[in-house]
Amino acid sequence: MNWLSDISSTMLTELFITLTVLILAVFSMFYNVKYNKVSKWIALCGIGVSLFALKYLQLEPIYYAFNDAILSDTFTVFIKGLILISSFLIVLLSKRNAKQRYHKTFQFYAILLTGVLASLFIVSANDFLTLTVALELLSFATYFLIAYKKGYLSKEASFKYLVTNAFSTAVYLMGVSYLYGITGSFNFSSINNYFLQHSPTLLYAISTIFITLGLFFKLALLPFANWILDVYEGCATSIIVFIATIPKIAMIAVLARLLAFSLSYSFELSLVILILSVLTAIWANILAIKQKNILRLLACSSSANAAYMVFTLTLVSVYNLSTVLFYLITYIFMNIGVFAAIIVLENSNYSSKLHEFKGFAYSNPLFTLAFSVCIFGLAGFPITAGFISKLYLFSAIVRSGAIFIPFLLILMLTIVVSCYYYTNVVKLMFEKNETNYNEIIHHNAYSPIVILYTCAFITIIIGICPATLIEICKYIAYNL
Amino acid sequence: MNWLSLNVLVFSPLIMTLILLTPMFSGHHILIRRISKGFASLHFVYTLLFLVFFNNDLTLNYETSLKLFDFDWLNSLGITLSMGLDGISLLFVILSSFIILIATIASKGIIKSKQSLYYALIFIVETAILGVFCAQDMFEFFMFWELELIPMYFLIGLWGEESTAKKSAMKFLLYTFFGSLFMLCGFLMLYNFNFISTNELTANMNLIGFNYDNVPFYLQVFASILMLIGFAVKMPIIPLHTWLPDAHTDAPAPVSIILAGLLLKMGAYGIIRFNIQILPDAFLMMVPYLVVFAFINIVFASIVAYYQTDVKKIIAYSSISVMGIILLGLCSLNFVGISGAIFLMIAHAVISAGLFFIVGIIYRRTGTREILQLGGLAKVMPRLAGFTLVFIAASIGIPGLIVFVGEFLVFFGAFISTIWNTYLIQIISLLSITVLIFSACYALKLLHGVFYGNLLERWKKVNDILNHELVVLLTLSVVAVLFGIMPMTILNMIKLNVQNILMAFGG
Amino acid sequence: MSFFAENLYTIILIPFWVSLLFAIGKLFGLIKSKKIVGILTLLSTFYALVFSVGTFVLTIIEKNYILEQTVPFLQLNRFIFDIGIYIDGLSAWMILLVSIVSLLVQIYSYFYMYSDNSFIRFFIFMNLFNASMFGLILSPNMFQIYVFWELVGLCSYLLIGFWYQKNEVSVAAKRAFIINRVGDFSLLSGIILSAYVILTNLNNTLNVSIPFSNISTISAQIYGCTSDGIFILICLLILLGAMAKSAQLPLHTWLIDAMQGPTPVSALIHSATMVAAGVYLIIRLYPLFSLNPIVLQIISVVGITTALVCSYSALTQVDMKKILAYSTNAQLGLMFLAVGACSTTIAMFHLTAHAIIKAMLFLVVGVVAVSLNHNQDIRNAGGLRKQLPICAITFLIGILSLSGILFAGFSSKELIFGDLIDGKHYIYLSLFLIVSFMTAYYLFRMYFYIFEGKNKFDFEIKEPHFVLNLSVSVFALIVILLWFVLPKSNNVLFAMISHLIAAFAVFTAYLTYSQKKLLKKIPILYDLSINAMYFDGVYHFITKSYKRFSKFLYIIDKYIFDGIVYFCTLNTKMISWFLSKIQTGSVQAYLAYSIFILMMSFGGIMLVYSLIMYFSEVQ
Repeated sequence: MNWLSDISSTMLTELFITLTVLILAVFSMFYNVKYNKVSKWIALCGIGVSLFALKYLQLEPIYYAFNDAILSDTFTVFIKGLILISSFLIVLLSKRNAKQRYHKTFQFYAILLTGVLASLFIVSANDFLTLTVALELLSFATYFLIAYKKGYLSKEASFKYLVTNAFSTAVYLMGVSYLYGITGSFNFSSINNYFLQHSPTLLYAISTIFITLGLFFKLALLPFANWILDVYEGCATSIIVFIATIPKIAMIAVLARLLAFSLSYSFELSLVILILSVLTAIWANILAIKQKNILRLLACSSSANAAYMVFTLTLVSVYNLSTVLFYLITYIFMNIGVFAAIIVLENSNYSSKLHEFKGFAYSNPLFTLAFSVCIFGLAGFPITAGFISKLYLFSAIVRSGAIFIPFLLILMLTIVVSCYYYTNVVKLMFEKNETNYNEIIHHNAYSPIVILYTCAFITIIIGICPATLIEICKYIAYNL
Repeated sequence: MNWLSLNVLVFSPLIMTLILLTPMFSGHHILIRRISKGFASLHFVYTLLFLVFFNNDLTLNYETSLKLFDFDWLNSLGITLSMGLDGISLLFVILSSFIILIATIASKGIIKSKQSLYYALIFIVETAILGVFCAQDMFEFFMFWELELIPMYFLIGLWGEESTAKKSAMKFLLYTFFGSLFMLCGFLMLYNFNFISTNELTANMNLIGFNYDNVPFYLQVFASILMLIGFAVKMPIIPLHTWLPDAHTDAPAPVSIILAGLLLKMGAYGIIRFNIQILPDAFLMMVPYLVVFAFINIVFASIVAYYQTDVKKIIAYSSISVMGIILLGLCSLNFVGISGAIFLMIAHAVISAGLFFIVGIIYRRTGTREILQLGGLAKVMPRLAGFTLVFIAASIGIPGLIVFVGEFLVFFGAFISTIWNTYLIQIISLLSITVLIFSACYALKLLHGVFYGNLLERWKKVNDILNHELVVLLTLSVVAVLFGIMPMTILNMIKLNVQNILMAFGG
Repeated sequence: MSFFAENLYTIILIPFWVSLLFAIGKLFGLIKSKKIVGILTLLSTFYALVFSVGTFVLTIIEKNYILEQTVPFLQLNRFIFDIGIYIDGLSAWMILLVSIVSLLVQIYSYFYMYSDNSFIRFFIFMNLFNASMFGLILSPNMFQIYVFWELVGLCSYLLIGFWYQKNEVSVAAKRAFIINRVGDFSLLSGIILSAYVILTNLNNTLNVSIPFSNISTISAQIYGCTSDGIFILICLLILLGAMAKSAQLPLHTWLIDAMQGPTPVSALIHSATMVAAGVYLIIRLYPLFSLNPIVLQIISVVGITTALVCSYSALTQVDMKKILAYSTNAQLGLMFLAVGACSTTIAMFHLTAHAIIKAMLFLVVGVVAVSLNHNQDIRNAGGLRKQLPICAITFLIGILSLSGILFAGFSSKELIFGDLIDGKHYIYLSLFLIVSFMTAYYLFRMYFYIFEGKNKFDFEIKEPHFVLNLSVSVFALIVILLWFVLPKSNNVLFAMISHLIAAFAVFTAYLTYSQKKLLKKIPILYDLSINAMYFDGVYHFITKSYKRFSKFLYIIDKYIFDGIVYFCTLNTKMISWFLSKIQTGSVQAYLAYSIFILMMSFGGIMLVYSLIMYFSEVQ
């Protein structure tokens, strides 16, 4: 019964998510408006059970299952937990978006959870084949989710995503095939072992670059970054939350693993990633200045933040990984908070245009406070988690060597630019709006507002007492 | 003495902020103002208690300085929330509390809307500033340093001039943020190289200062320059000064008081604490260049001030000029010069607070700050004219008033400075004394433009100062005269610390 | 007697406290009665007079009496800056002079200013001035000199700008202060420079504030351990300070501007006391200056040039106070000459004589101007001898004395003359005689215009308050008394020449007065005189250039320093605009960018690789 123990020690969460997806799919066949509410609860239950199941996965020693195709260790379990928590929040946030097409609520959640499932697989992959399949699964789930919203824009966004993704996957696969050509294996561990004995060649460098750049697509880093603005503008907000969090966590996790082991023998790769991530940071932050739509703005911000993380990740060390993890966690919470605020606004019939934010500070002080905390967290001002995470991340960059300080200075300049547009959002809320004084926001859905306040609270709490979380991140990073 | 806690000192304004932000005060404008004033005065009295119980012997060296609060904030990173006081910090803590008190009293009548938010932000700024002056840990210092940015942005942007304040506030924010990120980079370098050389993960300023020798010299210089950029923006040192005239002009009067009185001092304080105290060798190397910058600051700003017609801009440029003198004093690296620079910081805080408050009074009554539109106001506002005279006289360094001592000591200290064998610093300090002439030019332009000459018809009904304004002005004038006559009270407070700082320079 | 000397510091404090008391009283509206103000002021000055008389008598009784009382004002490590008092013959004499003039002028101004709205303000400033002046005179060291130097400058500025409503007063006050400030700057630099010299070369000296008690030793030390250039620089810097305060060329124009102030102020500050501070300082530091003959030469040249230029400027002026102001300038120049070429004692005598005479002349002019409804043009007066007999007599006594014909002025000028002959300074001597001629000329011209001839106005002259007359008369009495007190050199030659020249000058003045157009016939010389050698033009040019320079710097500030910032933001915005333009939304473009970046990365990698290969082969 080897496969049974494999499943029970590595894939228990995936199993439960799959089950949930199946249940939702079955329910979707018996369409009834009455059951719409049930769909959400089913999804939540599924995620909850999977979270619970994380406890039973094997942490120590590392468990390699299915001919080393899949592994389970502290790192994967932690990342999976993060993915599941964010997907839990996403499900809570997507009530209204799911209802936009009445008869398809079950399908919506089914597809969403498929995406989550794919991400979980990405995290635990120890094999380029598994990784590829999981990536494709995630991509397909995302196409459908993007196209889910009514209207032309979402279809266009979905198509753009599809085409760009196809191209990036091609690049990635090319890299993988080169690597296979060199080493004769798809397995991360055996590739690593191969290069422990053989010196890397130019072809290795090229193949690693192909693989990494292919993976950059989901993080919206530069060769494949342009899609993000259109997609963010086109699709439903809760889907953006999905795109902004879950694939990002998964990709950071898999990049951490790849850069630490199988792709770590090529300094050319590091060079390329460093330059590209700095370029991305510059590109995204500068582009964001002109954006009039907060979703497009956040698209840029998401790209920029991914760039900071990947930059630090490239300078491989345990300390750097821990800072990236910390940054990732705080970023996820602040980002979800910001999107929750936008969803609250959408629920009260505001659009995501920036100029509509005028005067919120006077009609909705508490909302503004929470929103501002999240925004300032993203900008990195103190007593929010963003401050600590940026401090921690930069300390990692400096620790990697004095030679990276010029890069850091450039990144810091881009952060100054980002400070401009983040502050601008808050400033707009404090501006007087004589013509149409803002109505008080209707709380017709409680979950977004609760999530907003929770995220703001977490942002502040981590900002004040980050010690525990940093300890956890260090522990996790040490165990990769 | 448990009740004498820096913890309470620094964080009580933050608690006050939370109290003010609760909805129970909404609408009670007078109540809010009174509570804020009351709290600010209590806080000031509390800082004075520190003065009373401050044992100067404890500051024999920096390591044994009065450590009243120590909390392992981020143990795994070696970052602590430790605060301590020595003579210099205590001086600035008292000054901060005093200036904040003045600013809250000065707000009456000028701040008319959103009062609870206003006072809440003021108290956040107070916490931030006090934190900066008490911090013993680099990252703690940096956190407090950054904490003041956003409240200050809103204080300028929301209560300032309708048309331009938002833009100036953004300029202030981005400019200072830009500087502070460079500073952070310098801190991180020190932090990491200290770790590499001593294998001890700490961001404690004392420990890092203790081990600075282990860091390679070129990195010391690099870190020192990076930190200096941050402080130079705040101080400000030309050419990184352009945020200041705009921010000062557009901010409401009480905020200008805080800006000129406290924020600029943070930059100079940072230079003392980090560039001089932690990295003395690198600072010594930079001194000749810094002296040139100081000279440009002093002369350039004071000449530019003469061309301005906006009263606030004149004072803003004069602040830049005075900060140049302070920088010159710090560059002298001897006992007289540094004491003079610290004294001048206090002096300038008091004087610029007074001047900005006076401008606020005039602006509130006439609605303009243009010299060309004012004139002859001494006839209708004789008492205000008298106070203005005192502050103007003080600001141009008339003896017997507070600024004179600082300026004299700085010029003297810079001239007798022997750390560099060249005559550069002596020639520059001699040339810098010309600021006496230039400062007289712009200060008299201000005084004469506003108070002398014919009284215009439309200002005939302008009334003289009110009681609360009288209280503020009288307090500031008394301080200006008192410490002008008895400067040793302040200088004795910082004596031991300055000696300590100079230990690294061989005396 | 030593009681007075030991408590002499109180005469600095008491006027200061009185001034502060008035200021507080005015601030809270507590003091209403003008009488109280007057009485308190007079009491404080009388107190000063009593103490200074006591001290003076003490210095007369005990030859070489010296008292130094100091407390540290600043004490930083080994640097101590003291403040306190220092009494010797010089300061006792000077303080007596100041307190006499001050008392009389204050009595005069009590009545003169009685109807003014800002009566209290006037006395606040006056008392502050008294305190500062006493502080200046009693300074035990250079540091304190500097402190009070600035304070008297401030008081002078405040009193010049007393009638602030007038625009020209405002401008005059500003100019006076700024020119004084040039001197302050110079004095401070000089003090710091000499302190530095002392400090670096003499390790045992802790007191770097250059005490006067052993000024000769210190001077010798400074001279001994500096090169000539540095020594002259130190002397010149201090000298420039003195020149600014004593209104010497080229910094003399402020004194003319100062005439915008009330007349008692001109009498007290701008002729008798404060302007003498420069001379006083030079006399104090004579041991220093005398070490290098070049410095003394410079002092003499400055003095005689000022005397010539200002006397010449006075020849054609029509404003009563301006004539007297130029005359003050010229006499101060003579004092400088006396210091440089003769001796400090002689300079001190001339200072004393001039102070009393000039104070008196100003007070008379004040009475005259008040009688003429504040009209100061001498052409509008005339024939006032009958209406104001006491004024006419005292004025005559004053000008006779100042022209060197009789009384105190005769003695002091005689001393200068004799000493110039003894020292064989024939060039100075001849110039001195020219100055004497011009002095007599313009003073008598003024006298003739004001007091002789017929009335040129058609209103009743009010009888001045008897106290005004009284104070003027007391001054006249002192002038006559001084004649007997001052030493005489019994130089017959001088008496002859002096009287001859004076007679000639009086005659010329009378001619000019009766013929009206004697000087107008020489156009260039007349223009030069009436425009005071165009110094105002030069200052105007400097002011204008400074304004332009400041505008230029502001433009640099705005378009270069701020321009760079603006350029950066603009640039960022432009790039942002460009990026949002290429963010077209068409997926082909995106793919093209991707391919481009991919190719660039590979190109870069290839480049790096080939470079590495190349260099490894080279090695």
